[in-house]
Amino acid sequence: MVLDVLLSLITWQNFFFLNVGVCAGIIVGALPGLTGTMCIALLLPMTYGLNSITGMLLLLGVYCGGIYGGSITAILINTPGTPASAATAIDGYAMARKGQAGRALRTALSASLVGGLFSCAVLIVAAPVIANFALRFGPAEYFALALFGLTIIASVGGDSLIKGLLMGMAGLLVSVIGLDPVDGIDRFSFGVTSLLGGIDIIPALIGLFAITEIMSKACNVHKPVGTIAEFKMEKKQSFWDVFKYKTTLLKSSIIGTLIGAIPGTGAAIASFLSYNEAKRVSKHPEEFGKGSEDAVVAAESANNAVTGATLIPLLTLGIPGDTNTAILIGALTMQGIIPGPQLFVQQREWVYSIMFGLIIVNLFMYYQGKLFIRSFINVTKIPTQVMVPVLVTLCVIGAYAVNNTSFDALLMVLFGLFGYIMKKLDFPLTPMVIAIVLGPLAESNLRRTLIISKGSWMIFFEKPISLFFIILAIGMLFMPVIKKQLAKHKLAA
Amino acid sequence: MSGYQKNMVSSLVFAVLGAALLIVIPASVDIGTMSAVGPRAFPYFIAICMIILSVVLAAVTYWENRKNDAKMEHTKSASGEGKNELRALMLVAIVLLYILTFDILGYFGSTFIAATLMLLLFRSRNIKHYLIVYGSAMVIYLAFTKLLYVMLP
Repeated sequence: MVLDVLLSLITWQNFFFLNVGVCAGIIVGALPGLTGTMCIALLLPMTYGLNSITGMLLLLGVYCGGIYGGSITAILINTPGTPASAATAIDGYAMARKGQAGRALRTALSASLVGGLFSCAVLIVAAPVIANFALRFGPAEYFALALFGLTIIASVGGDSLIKGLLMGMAGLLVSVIGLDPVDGIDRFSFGVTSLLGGIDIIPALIGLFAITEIMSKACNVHKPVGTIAEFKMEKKQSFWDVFKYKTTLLKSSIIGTLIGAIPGTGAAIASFLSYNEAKRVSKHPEEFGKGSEDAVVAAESANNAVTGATLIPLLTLGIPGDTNTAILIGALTMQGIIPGPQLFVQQREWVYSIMFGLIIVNLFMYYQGKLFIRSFINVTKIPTQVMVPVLVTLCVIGAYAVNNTSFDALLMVLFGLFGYIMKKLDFPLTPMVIAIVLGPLAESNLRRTLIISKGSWMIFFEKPISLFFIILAIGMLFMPVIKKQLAKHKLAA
Repeated sequence: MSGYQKNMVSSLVFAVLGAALLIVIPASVDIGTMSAVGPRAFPYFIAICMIILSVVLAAVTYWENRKNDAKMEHTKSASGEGKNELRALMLVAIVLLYILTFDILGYFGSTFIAATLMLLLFRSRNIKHYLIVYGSAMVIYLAFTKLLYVMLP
């Protein structure tokens, strides 16, 4: 099997597209106002014409590159490119002001690599164990799991649980359009043939995450990026220098991995938790906030450690833990691959190719960051007036390419407009995406289970695994309270 | 719009949507099987939840507003903000035009027109910007058709 995995991984297409993904991710991650999530949504249609492993490596490259890329502008202009780099900006920019920008950039890169590789190792060890356990799942367990996944909405709903749930309902509404999964009855297509098959997730994703951001960018088209701090890369600084902070590296990687494996949390929480922890145990806590290299190591290793860990619930249970993994499910669905425990039985080589491929993604992220940092920084100088038309073209082509019909592109614009209005009204978009992905899974398994139990709802409480996930789901609804407490901790730091 | 107004407007919109769903479901969704959970069950669940959540949002917003004894902070829009929103809406109009002309004029025709309109919308006078955007459109075409084998009109 090892040979099969290596043979499927080591191809020129994989290396080429993986590097394209990493490069695109770093660039977009570095650009304030654009996120890696948007880039994943934009490149998603490109995976249609690619082999499934190549497509996934492209998107994983964007994912990992995007999280690292945010640290570049965080350090150089005190503007994190992604929320995950907000903790890095605190000490990274302070280091830049002291003339140590190059050192901060190299440290962030090395720490990102270590965190990413650590979570890959955990993924490779833990995923098969969890998948093996999940093979016992039946329709009742899958419904309870989907319900648990839907309650993640509570924790990704931002400050307002109610707004998150309302967007979740909007997502569920989108998911029921088309033919009913059990009886094949038409729902809400209103005679439009293109809607009979339901709304494809790709126009929805591109609309909600790319068009919405492009519209926001268009609002601030003349806003300057900010003055970029000058820097010199220190030739004497090597990758191994980061191991001066080995305790911080290990702790932060563990924190990032644990946080990443829990659906609904995310890299931003991981990086702040690690920052606080590193400061708490540091012999020189007074240096934090004033340019401490230890702080940069803590934040960056934690946020990249999230990347491998978020694939654990995705690959083993088919549950997206955040927006990026929800989009990855879209990519898998496009390729006809259903994530979940059966994947580890029916497509074992594919799964291991992805898991080991993530290691290669992290390595190329390091080398690209090391060799092309100046080029990436120059990209942030591209005027928004030039970027917007190019991004719009990519979006339209991407949505069109799904089914070679303009209808999907029109849907994309509708979703984009909806997403823009909802953002203006302070509604989060991630819950809608999670609901679109999990809605069909929840409904079809609920109805199948009730057919098996002849209408008795007690079946969900009689099966122990199902009961476990229902209890977790209830607990998840209290996640906003827990998050508020964590945020208080963050402020105290 | 203040936070109070945003929440009240959104709860009204979602409540109306939920109510509309309740009316539309019997006409739009067949009863299907006679089992307790048929094709209408999930849509009804969504509609009822939307209405309940909208009412809760409105109630919580009203309660917090009374507790704080002041309307939620009214964010004064800068004078340019209206222009920015208009620019975003005009961008959407250009994108819609782009999509509607896509099959009629083909990729290059519709992309050229849409890209030019967008650059004019952003008042770009630098010829380099136009050349870069047109060049990028060509690269995107080649990437999708030659590399990914996607058919474009």
